[in-house]
Amino acid sequence: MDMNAFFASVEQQANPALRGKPVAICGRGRTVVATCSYEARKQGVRTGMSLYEARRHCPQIIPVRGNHIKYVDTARKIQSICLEYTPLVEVFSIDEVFLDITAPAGTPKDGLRLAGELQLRIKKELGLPCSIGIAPSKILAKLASDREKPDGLVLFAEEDIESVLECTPVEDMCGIGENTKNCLNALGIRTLAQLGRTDVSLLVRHFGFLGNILKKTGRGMDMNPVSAYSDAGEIKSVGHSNTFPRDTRAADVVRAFLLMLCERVGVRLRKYGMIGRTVSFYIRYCDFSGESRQKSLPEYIKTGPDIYAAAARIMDSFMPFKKAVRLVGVTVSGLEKDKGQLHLFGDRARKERFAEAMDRINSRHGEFMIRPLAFEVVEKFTGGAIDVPARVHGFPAGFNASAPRY
Amino acid sequence: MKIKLNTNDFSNLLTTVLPAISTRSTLPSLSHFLIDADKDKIKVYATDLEIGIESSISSKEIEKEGALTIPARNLTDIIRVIDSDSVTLNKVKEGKVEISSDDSNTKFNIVCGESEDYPGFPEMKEDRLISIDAKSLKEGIEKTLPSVSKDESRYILCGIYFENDGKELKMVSTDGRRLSYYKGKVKGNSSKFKAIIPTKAINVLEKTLTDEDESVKISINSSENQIYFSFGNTIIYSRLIEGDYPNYGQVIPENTTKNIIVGTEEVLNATKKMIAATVERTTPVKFLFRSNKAVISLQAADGSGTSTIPVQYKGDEIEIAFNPEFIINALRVVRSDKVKIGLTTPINPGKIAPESDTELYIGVIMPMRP
Repeated sequence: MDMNAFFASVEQQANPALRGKPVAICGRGRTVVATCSYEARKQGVRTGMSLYEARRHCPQIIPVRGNHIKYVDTARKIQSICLEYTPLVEVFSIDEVFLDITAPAGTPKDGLRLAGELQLRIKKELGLPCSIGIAPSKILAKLASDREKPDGLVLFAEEDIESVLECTPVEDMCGIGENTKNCLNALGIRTLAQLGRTDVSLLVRHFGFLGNILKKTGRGMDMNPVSAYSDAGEIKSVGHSNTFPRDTRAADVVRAFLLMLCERVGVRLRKYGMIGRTVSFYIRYCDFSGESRQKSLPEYIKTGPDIYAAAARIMDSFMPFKKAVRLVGVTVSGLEKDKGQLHLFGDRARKERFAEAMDRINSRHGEFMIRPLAFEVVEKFTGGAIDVPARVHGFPAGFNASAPRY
Repeated sequence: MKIKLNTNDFSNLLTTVLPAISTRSTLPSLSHFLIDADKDKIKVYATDLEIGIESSISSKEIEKEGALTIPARNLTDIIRVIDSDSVTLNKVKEGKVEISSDDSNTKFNIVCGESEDYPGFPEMKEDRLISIDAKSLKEGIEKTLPSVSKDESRYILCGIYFENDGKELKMVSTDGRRLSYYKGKVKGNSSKFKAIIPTKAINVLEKTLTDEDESVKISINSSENQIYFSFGNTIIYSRLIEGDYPNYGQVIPENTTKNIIVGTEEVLNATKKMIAATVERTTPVKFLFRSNKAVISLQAADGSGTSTIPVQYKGDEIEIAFNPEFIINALRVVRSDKVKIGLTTPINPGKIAPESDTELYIGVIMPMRP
């Protein structure tokens, strides 16, 4: 299942004024289009174009700042709907999932019916379009989902596969990129069926062990099963960074920003039920040069002040700043599930209870209703609201892709 | 300086002092031993400025008194390969020492330094002095060392806390999640003191104390913030960790409502069995205590297990989860056939003590949230 123009669709769903209009999701300032709505695509706007270029194609385009938290949240909702059908839900990227429906469906016809139902539910409950491909293997299902967009529903039954492979160019297959395509074409291989008929030793000579996989790909075979959905376990690190509205050398401002970032990382760690023991700090100067360092701690941590203590120690080693600072970032890795070890002494136990109480209040009344006073410094410096995009790495597999693939 | 020593004695002397030689010192002279021959005594001393060890033997074969420093690595290597019963050290000239075997068939020449360039052994002012049974001190270290914190950001906890009230020496360690407490008798009268001794000094002390040592004198130089342990022919000094140790008494539960008596080996083995089920070392092990029975279990993503053992317990059922490493460490050092496990609720600290003497050793372990 592949969500259609995922980020743009989420934004259009969230804001009715954007519906039916050409929307481009991008960052702020000088930026490129991360993705755009079908309305914009019709006018020639493509992922990766600069906003300036996009405007040339489509002067009425509406740029919208991407909000990763919203997309991750929506992706999780989609995944939880999928999980109602089968526990075998493999998250491939933020907007793509594989479902093994062998058990609930039984026959291809049942599969088609079930997929239709799933598609309808996602449309009805979340207002989002998706394309679903049904096939005996993951790579063929992916191919089928790419056939019709938006709102596609394509079945490759066993008997159709041969003809599909016969007429599909190799580059349409997931995993075959520009280089591989050129190399295959040079060998006279243009369609998947041709690839499937090629002698494996020829492929191995050109592509090494990948030759075996290519041969199987050409026959539509993918032996990898759909892996079971594993929640949060796949988060590898949690980080935030912030580009200042203007470069600064003021240590108190940089510290305040750092504290804010650390608090955010702490909030997310606790939300995922994780603890971490490696803190990385990075800094970028006005000329885009930068430094970074990481430190492994003897104990696992999960609160903003603990993260800050480690990050600030690293930052101190870069001080005084060589140049004006443009960006700082902090990441906690070396994550483990928080198994709930309690602490003997008041200080530590209080710190954790305090963070949890803050989380409860903030989750009910809005982000950072309760917050460290240092945030005032940040607000004064930015001249208003605090807004920091989140970065989640490897959450779940494939989430680190900066933009969805279309 | 010209001295003759029994090779074995000399080797033992060097081995005793060697732990104070730091492998990565900024001061070159700290990679040397200081050897001092005075009247009828040969002293070997080493320090890394945090700790220092001095050990001596009496000798009637001091031909010429004097002191010098000598590279620790070279000297220990040489003494190891010399196969005669005795060895002679002779400072032949400035910066040069000759080491020779009995029969003079084997000779070495190595560089040596001036004793003046070596940091001196801090003067031992005996302002707070106690004497404790060496076995007792060793036992205290064995029982408390595992729960010393390794988190340098909480440096206060990176050592064993000694508290002497005049009659008893209490030793306490904690890493914030578990705590070990040990109480040893002090010989004779002594003055009160409190001190946090860094892990490094404790490790050296544990290694150096032998079964032949009977009692250990502990003295504190509070103005210099130093502690001295003297026993046999050896003195170890260490700087102390500065600061206030947390109020440990407050976290040792006094009246636990659910008290279980269980065979130490049985509960230890059952806990060890459970951790075999998973590769994740910190997976909590659950203890379900009900009437005369304990069900010990573990549930992890990669495996699970249960083990049932008999216990002496009559009371309400309670289930509590602990980090297995903490339980195993505590049970290993209890040194009692049966232990008393005291619990109150699944989120209150658990207490482990020998059944016979519940004051001698106490292990306090904070549970994991159920």
